[in-house]
This record gives sequence, C-alpha cells and structure tokens, in this order.
Amino acid sequence: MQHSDITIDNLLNNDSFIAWVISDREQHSEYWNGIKKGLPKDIAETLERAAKIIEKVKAQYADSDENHITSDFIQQQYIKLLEAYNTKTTSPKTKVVKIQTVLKYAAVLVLMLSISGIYYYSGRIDGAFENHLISTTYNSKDILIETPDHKFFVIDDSTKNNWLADNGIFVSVNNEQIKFVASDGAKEGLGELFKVYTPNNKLYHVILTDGTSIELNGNSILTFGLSKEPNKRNVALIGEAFFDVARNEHAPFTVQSSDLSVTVLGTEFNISNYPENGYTSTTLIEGSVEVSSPANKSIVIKPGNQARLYKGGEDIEIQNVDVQEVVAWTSGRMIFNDEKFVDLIPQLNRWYGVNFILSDEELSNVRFTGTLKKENDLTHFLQMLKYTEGINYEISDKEVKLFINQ
Amino acid sequence: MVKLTPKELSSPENTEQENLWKLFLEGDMNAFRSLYSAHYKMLYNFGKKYLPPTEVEDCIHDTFLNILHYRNNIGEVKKVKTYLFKSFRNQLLKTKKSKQVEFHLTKEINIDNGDPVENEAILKEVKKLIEQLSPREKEIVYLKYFQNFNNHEISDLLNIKYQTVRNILAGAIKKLRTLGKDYIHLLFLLIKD
Repeated sequence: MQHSDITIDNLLNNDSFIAWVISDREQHSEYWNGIKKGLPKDIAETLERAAKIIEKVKAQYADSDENHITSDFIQQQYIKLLEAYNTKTTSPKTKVVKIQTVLKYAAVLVLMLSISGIYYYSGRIDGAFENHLISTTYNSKDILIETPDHKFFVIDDSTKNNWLADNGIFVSVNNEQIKFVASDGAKEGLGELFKVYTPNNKLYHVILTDGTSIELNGNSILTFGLSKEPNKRNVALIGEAFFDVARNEHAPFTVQSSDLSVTVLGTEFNISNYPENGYTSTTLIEGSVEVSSPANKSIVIKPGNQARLYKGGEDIEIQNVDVQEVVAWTSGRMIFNDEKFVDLIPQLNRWYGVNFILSDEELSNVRFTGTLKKENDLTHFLQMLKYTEGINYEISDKEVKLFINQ
Repeated sequence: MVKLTPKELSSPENTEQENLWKLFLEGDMNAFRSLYSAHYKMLYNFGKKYLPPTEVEDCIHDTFLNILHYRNNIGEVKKVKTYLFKSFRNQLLKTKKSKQVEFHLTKEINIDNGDPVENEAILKEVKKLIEQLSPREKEIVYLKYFQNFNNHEISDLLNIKYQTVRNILAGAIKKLRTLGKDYIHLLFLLIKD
C-alpha cells in the first residue's frame, strides 16, 4: 500500500485492514505492522483513526448479554438438535407383546414394595460418562452401570440426563432406560464393555446404538459394547431379558447366555438363564433365531417355541410355550397356568426378594393358576394363599415358611 | 491502492471451516458438531439484531436441522460462514414473515471495558452515529466491521447487487469517518501511541 493510499475511506474499505483491526491486530499482522512502522506521523495517525473507528463500531454491535452463550449452553443446544434430528428420522419402536389379553386371569393382592436406595446427582452436560453418575458402593437395591474401566454408577429415581460423550455417542439416561444413539460420525473403538446390573424386582431398559432394545428383568446382568462395527453385535446375559433386535441382514446379533448362544438378524425373543433355573431358555416371539450349544449343535426355532439347554447338557430341547406367560414380566406380571408350586419357587424368590421354604411336602404339588402383579406385595400374596388355599405363613427376616393350616 | 486478492485474505481459520464442511458432507458428524460450536455465538449475535433471544435460538436450531436434513443436496460451499449466515438470515425472515424484520442495535449501552482514557462522549457519539444509519446501512456496517465479510459475501448474503453493497457502504463510511475528528481525547490517544 502506497502512503497516498492510506486514507480513512480506503482503509474502511480494505477487508484485510478490517480483519487486522477486529481480530485485535492478529490476522494479517505482519503486513499491517510492517506498513505502520515506516509511516510518517500524520499518516500513522490516519491509520490509527481508521482503526479506532472500526473498533468503536464493532464495540457497538457486541451484545452485553451474550454471557449465557457458554460452551455448555451450546452443547445443550446441540443435543436438542440431535434429538430433533433423530426423532424425525428414526421411527419409534413399538413393543410387540400384547399383554393386556392375559388379564383374564385372576388378579391377586396388593401392597407396595418400598424401593430404597436414593442417591442424588445433578447432571451437567459435558463429555465424560462418569460425570453424570455418582460413584457408589455396591447396593443390591440399585440399578448399576459398570463402565469399561470398572467403575460402578447408580441409577436412581432422580436420574435424568442427556449428554453427548466425547466419542460422539449421544446418551440419555433415566430411571427406566439408558439409550445410546451413535451420531453418524461417532468414532470407532467403542468396543469396550459396559455392564448393567439390575437388582431384585427392578426392570431396566437398554437401547443400543443399532436401535436394538433390551428389557432387562430383575437380578440380571447385561454386558454390551457400543461398537459401530457391524460385525460386533454381541451381548452377554445372565438372568433374563426380552430382546427386540434391530434388523440388519449383514450383521448378526449374538447373545451369549451361559452355554447357549443365540444368533439372530432381527427379531424378538426372550432369554432366561437364572443360575437357579439350571437351564437357559430362549423363547421366540417373532421371526426366527438360531440357537447353538457348545457341542456345536445348532437349531432354528419358530415363534412360540422355547429352546432349553440344561447346564452341562449338549442337546437343545424344544417345546411349545405360552409366549404371554414367558414375557409377562416385561409388563410387571407373573402368569401361572396350572403350575406346580415347587416349580414357581425360584421365580417367587426373585420377585419378592425372599426365600420361600415349603415346610410341608404336600405343598410342592399344589398347583397355581393366576397372575401376580408387580405392585402387589408379599404380604398380599401370603394373605391370598392363606384365605384361598389355606396355606399359612411365618416371616422371619428374608425367609418365608409356608405350611398347611392345621 | 494495492488490492489484496481473496486468496490472500482467507485466513487459516476459514479454510479449516471449509475442510470441516467437506468432512461433514462425507458423513462426519464430529465435523458437523465443530461447525455448529464454532458458529453458534456469531449467529446468535447476528440474530439478536433482528429477533428476541428465544426466537434466535429456535432459528439457529432450525437452520442446522435443515442442513442435516438436506445435506445431500447442499454440496460444497465457498465459505461456510457466509453460507450459514445466509441460511440463518433466511430462517429469521421466514420466522417473522408477517412482521417486518429490521436490523437494529440491541438496546444496552456497551461500556468499553478496556480504555479508561476514553470517555462516554465518544461512545455516545458512535452510538448516535450508528443509530442515524438506515437499517440496511447498519446491517452492512455490522457484517463488514463486526463479522468481517467482504463486499462480495455481503452481496451474496443479503441477496443484493455487489454495486449496491458498495454504494451503501460508501454512504455509511462517509458518516462514520467524521467519527473522532473533533475529539481531543481520541487524538490524545493517537499521539500517545
């Protein structure tokens, strides 16, 4: 720039000069500092005046109330954006099982189980998973999440949060479910394993990045990764869960539960392998699944089929079952259809969190038909036994002794 | 006067944004997130000149939501900032279709926090001057001296002719250049440097 070109008008029109001034003289600084050095005083003053004009004008346009536009605020706005984008593009999954029809069975009694274990955390939006949950010592009454680095975090009634993890996975968590949504560009290498632990009598819903929905029954442990790699749709289960697997022809979804491994492309099924059952069962609701045992025996089952593999066994047994009965737990019910009392004990123990003891031999063969509801508590169940079946009870600590009324 | 070519003008920051845009079009959502964060405050500041804050937030939301939905039809852009400002401004205008949307200064008086020597008289003078500008002049002065767009970009952004931008700016500069002329304080500052 020639000295004669340095006029207020020219400078106020010069984009490089403007950039230099409004960047606090950082951009293009070599050029403009160079020019400034060699200027006679009067021209230097012109240049400085032009700069002052721009600075004053700029200051007038700055907003004084912009302070709330923090990076936290922007992050929250971004999450809202992703939520809006995801709700528009992905159709919500509907639960398949029409449980209502089973209500024809006699309902039982009522009492509320007090669910304790209240921890509190207040959520801030930032990247780390850990920052959203409070570390806890193990408490069998809480839903727990174990992170890949083996920290435990509690999910309680006040848990409610959304955030975006550093790796691009969007996580929303509350006391009913944890949902992971991979934004399109989520980074790979998320194969590390998470675990969800449910206590007795609490259900929890896990939604994985591929859209697969897993309803976890009480007393269960689900292990899963968040990898986006399609060939890595693997989870492991101890306990019981209802799976609604998002369909992907190219990426089989595998559940390992005890010795039984279940492979599907996309379907709905229930798996139960509580250790006290002594077997793993897979019940198919819709579609088809392949189940296989360690002895490499695999078999494809149909809707309504239940495949059972007994502990240590090789052969998979297939039987027809009442699907509604099997998945009743997902809607907070237990359905019995002419079943022997003794066979119900493990389920009742889990349900009420106690140990039932049948003091009289003949009680074992008493048969039950009916529905137990989650909201009905133990005392109500026992009262029902007393007045309808003539079975008496004695409660001590976590033990419930049942005997025939004399 | 030696004109600087647009290439020389592009700062490293700009090309970085354009690269992010390219990555975003290829499906990289982290790039999108960076673009969003990098431009949020600028757009917010800009939007506040037209609409109240909550509506501005909604407009930013809708602007980016549209970009996500229509990204397959957008393609590469010459300068991300210009593209975003243009889309955002269109969104602002759409929001207030019935009402007239006019560019204005936000009401608060800005206290310059830097320089104790400068007195309020100068600030008031600047404010008075800017308030005397027409909405279009204010808008262009803002885009030029706050957001650092060049005349071509402003013409693209406001959808008006390049020559019109030049003319309006020339008029505004004529008013602005009187600034500080009569102020001893300001001259004192200059001499001090």
